Amino acid sequence: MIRRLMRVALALPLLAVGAGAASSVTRDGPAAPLCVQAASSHRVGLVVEHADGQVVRRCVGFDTPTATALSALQGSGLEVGISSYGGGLGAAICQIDNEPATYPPSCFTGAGSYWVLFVSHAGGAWVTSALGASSVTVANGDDIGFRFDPQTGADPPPPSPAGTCPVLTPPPAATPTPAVRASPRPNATSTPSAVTSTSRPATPPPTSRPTAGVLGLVTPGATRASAGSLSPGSARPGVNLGILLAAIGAGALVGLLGTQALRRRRQ
Amino acid sequence: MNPRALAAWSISGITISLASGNPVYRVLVLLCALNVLVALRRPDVSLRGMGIALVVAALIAITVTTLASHTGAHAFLALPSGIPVLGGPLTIEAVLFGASTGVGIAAAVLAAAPLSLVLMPNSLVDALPSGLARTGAAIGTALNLIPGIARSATEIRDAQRMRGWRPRRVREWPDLAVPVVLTALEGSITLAEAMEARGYGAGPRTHYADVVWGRADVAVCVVAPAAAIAFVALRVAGVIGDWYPFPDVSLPPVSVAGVACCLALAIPALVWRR
Repeated sequence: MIRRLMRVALALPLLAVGAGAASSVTRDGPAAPLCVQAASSHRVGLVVEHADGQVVRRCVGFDTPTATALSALQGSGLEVGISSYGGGLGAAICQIDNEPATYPPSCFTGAGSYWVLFVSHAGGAWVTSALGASSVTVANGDDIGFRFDPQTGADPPPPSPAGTCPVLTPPPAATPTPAVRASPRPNATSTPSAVTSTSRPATPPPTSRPTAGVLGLVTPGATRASAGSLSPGSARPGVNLGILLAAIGAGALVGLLGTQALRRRRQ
Repeated sequence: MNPRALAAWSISGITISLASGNPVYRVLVLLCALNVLVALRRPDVSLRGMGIALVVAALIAITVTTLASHTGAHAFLALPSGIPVLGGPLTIEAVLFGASTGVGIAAAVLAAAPLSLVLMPNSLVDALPSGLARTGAAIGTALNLIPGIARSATEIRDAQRMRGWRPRRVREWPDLAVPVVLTALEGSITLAEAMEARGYGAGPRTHYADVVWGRADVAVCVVAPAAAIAFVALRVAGVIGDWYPFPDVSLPPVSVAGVACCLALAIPALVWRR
């Protein structure tokens, strides 16, 4: 028994390091956009402001007269993490565009930041929503905003939604078009910097990027990599050293445990 | 070993195990506490019962978290959504979070266990400040009555069964409960008389032997609290963070300084000998 324990002690650091190396290549990629509604007759502007000030704008289309803020958010193609409470209580927005990187099962931490929901009806000012995202309904011309804000202090609204949904150009009557598209789409295929951009311009330049399911969009900063990701590209320096030291320490402690057990048995 | 130094180590271990939700630190504290228990436990003490209890507690934590938390990217089973609270997908992330919680519970319990499994009860009461000596003696005496009552209940149950007692309804349980309560009361009165006959409460508490502080005791009393304070300071500064496997499982962030603080808790197993 003691000898077996000692063998485990020697193998533990190697196993831990091996597990870390193996898990670093098993990270799933980001989810594909969910909504394909290019011919939608109703549109809602979506403004998402991250904690670092980065703003993401999307114009989401839908065919029903109204839609919930949650369904609009999910249809925007942004990464969304929700926690469903069930029993008619709806769902909580835990994560948007990989912020925060991780969250507890109850969604909210005791003192951290959370996604505050704002609604603007028919071009009006932002109003903090009294209902959750799965209960708030929006209609054509409305805007919804999310801002990652601390639980303490005031909740300043996100930037104005003006211009998030571009004006539609009606198609010519003689040539029916299968899908309604946003008219201003400059640089539609040449925005590689938007993929990993984390810059925070004071006035975001309106660069467009084609995304399935979104009518027109302005994305000064696009979807970011998760800070808690296991992918090699996002690994922070020092983390592996800490895990290595922890594995060696754990192995040493297990070895010491075996030695102590052996000594006590001999006594 | 000095009981106050061991108490300082226990408080430090509990502090570190509860200060962060990171399972790496919790596992290290758990291993340190196991080392201390194996090296220093009293010869008449078995760790088997406590080990089984901790495994059961950890399994309960895993089960409850898995059934109640339905977030996470990797679902391995789905319960019908019509079931209140439990309905929904069961995820690997929830299992891992439950395991982390279970390890935290086990680490905290093992850090506190040396106070009862290493020290004699009288040593622990002696280690209390003079102002708490009476309260400590009362609490210790009350806790010592619990195993006696359990033994008494077993004996009375066996005796009643030999007389043909076969309980089928709750109404028949007073046949066991009444003698157990009367026996416990009688034992308490006997204990109180014995303590009074030995001068309990007549003056300040005296000690059979003076508590001596050796170098090893001082080392434990300095290193363990220093490690706990450093760990909490690193936690407040943001160097040491929590770990949540949601929405997608990831490797816990580990700080070298945090690991060093945890490993420092192994010092009693290195400097003390039984």
